[in-house]
Amino acid sequence: MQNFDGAELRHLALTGDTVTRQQAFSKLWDGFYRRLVHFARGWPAIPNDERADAATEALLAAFAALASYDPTQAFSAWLFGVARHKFQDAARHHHQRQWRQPPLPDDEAEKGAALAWHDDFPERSAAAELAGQCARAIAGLSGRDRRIAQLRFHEELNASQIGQALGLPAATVRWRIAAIRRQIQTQLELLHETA
Amino acid sequence: MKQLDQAIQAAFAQAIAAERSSPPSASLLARAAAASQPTPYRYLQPAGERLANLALSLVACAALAALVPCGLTVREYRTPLASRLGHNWVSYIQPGLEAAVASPSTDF
Repeated sequence: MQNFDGAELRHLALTGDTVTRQQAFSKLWDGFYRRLVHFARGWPAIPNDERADAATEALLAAFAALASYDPTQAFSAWLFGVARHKFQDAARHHHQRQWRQPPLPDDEAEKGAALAWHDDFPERSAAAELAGQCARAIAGLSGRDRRIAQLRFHEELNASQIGQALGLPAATVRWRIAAIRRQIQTQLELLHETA
Repeated sequence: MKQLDQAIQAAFAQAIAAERSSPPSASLLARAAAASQPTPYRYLQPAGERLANLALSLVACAALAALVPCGLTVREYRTPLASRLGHNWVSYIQPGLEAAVASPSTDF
């Protein structure tokens, strides 16, 4: 997944005219919008109908801050780091706005998000059955583990880059990746036993 | 392990592809273009230059503060000083002058 040319995007955004900058933003949008909307699912406090707005704000913030991107580093690690800050702010903002309502216990909030994750999954063919079972197992992960799993398995970032994006030590990321693999493997085995 | 990783990757790919998306609106593109517009060049004074200015200000402050017990008032030497050195210098010196005036040494 690390095939997006962040250096070119940075060059276009910083030196281009208005039309060029708009084209550059469209390119960023096409490459990352869906990935960020899905990444926002790692913050269960963000309601489903606000994830798209949060992803849009994250893309705008990243595009405005492209001057701070170091082209020698992985672009997706930098972008997901910017998005992480925006999503944390959005989750905090929503929590403060809802302070009068009794909060959901963490477990229920996680479960609600997990079900939403699974409900959005499209119809699967038999060939994608294993992926579908993995999706069910991923839906049972905590928000933090889901963020790590997306960055590791979909964005193909290494532990240092994930740590940079999520503000975690690389050793913690490695430990969590091993735990995520174990948890998904256990879930798959349980599914096979019950089938 | 590799098969598991590939299955997880495929699960994410399908889930991300299932997320709803639409092209960015014209107003959003305009916002993005405006947000990324380069800011005008702003001169930042080098640290060495700032340090030299501060040191000179302290020397000038000490020299002027020493004159206070001789009967000068702040008003008498502030105006010519401001005209010669500029307002920024006076703003550096002013706190020192105020302190000196507040506790003048009468047995100088």
